Amino acid sequence: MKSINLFIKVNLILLFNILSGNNLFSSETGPAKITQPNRLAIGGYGQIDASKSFGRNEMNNAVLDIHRLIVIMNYKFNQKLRLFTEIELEHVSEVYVEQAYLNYRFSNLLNIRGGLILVPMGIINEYHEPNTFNGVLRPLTDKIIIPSTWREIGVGITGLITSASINYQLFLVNGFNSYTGAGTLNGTNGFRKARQKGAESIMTSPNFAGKVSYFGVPQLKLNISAFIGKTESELFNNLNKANTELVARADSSIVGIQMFTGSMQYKLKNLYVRGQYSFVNISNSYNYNAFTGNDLGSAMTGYYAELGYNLLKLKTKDDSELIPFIRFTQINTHKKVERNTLRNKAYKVSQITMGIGYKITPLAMIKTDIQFVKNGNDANYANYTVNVGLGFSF
Amino acid sequence: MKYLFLFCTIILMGWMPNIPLNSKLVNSKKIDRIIYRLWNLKNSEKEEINIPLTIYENYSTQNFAMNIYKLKHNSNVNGYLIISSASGCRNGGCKAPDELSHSGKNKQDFLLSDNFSFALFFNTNFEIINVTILDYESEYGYEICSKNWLKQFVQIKNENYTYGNNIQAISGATVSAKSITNAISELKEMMKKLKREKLL
Repeated sequence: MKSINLFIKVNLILLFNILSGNNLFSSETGPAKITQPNRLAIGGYGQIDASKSFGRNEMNNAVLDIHRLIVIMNYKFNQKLRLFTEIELEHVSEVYVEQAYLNYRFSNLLNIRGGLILVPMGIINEYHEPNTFNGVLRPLTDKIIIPSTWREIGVGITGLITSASINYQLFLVNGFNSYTGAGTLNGTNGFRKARQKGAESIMTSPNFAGKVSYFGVPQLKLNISAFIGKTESELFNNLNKANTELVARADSSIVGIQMFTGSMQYKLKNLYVRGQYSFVNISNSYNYNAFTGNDLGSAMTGYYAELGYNLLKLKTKDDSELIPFIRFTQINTHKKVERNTLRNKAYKVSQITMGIGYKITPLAMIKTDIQFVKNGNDANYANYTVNVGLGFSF
Repeated sequence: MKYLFLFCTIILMGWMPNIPLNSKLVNSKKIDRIIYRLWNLKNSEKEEINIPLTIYENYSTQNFAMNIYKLKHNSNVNGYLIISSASGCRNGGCKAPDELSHSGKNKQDFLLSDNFSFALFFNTNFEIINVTILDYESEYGYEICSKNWLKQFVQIKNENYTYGNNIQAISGATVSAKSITNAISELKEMMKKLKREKLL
């Protein structure tokens, strides 16, 4: 509640400043003059979904949810220094900070950034506004393998090498918290329950996160991302170095993670193509599972391939698009397991999503789709979910 | 901890006061390298041309810092250089509709977007011979910096530029791509007007 109150107060102060004509938005214009930076930008995005699952032997209610509603506030202190924040209300009552960082800009080539930053992994973790992707929900691989929206506190550098058409991001960030009295990593949720999201997060050792994007061919974008490091654990707090048993317990509560993702986006006239493949190697899962009793795999994979086609002409009055699409997603959190863990076939989940999205304008979208799901134990795609949603950003 | 210290040190070492944008950009090494590539000249004089206000009035370019330079060497004019800005995709999304782009007449619209600066080189026939993005700040829409995309403005000589038609659309960078297309169209037209009125 406190944070909501603070948030409302901040907004009221900003509104007062705007109404009273304070010079927050000063913009000097005219020939041969230097344009002042537009200091404050306010934006946001959100998605409202309705989902109903159908099974062979069960009945389900539909779930109607304000999935997320986000306010973006972006402030330029001067031409070099800017603050970027995203404050999120998830499922109406949960309040999060999704991004909050300062960015100091030397040139196209070099920015230094610090704060709560997005881990640059795959496509959707960074570009997650609902009008930028097909389907009501994010692909399964961007939920379990890449736990979007994945953000942690860190520092690093970013930049654009225009001569080579390359964008790069290199960060040192905090890692997953793999032990909070019990193990948080497992086969069902992957890394999802271990994100710290910058909330009184603990760090045993920093992790490396990096991404390189190539955009030299118009309409094609290729990305490679890596995340390398060890998870964090509360057992390293007040740890007596001399007590070998406690040190061994603490060592067993963390794992090493090497995650690599390749992704591509391509547009050819009305055709949209997207693909992404992630591979995660996890070390020390033998000791981790023995200690926590969890069923974490020693390797995970997740990928999807998606085709969409805009049925409307390329140039409509409002830039409207009507895009039917099909996406195949597969994740496997037990791609490999250590010998003390039983491979669970149910953790290999395949999903076929077929749907259609109507962009009323590029900013507002109505979506509907049907998702057929099966896991490694199912003979066919017997279970399905129907989703309807609104997505918007401004 | 030692990494944090290292980064703090780099930030402190690299701190510098803000210098007015265009005057700094025009004297940058990047501009000199392009001039050397285009004319094989190491020391080209950049003489700023003062443009009467009346020329600006019809163009949305008036909303942006804009400077025109005559590129001279031993009193011979080799070409012209314009440094200007356009509104780009904003951090938080490349998604604003048309009226927020460079063609927008309402100055308030520009508050919503991040501007980026670019250099436009003309030869003495007033044809565009190079377009380079100088300073692109946003995380969104940076695909317009691709040389392969920008060279369209050089290759298309005798037609008007139309985004999505003879200028390839870039998905995910619509705002920046549209606004630079509009900006270059206007500046090209303005150069013709300046030439007609013998102001160059």
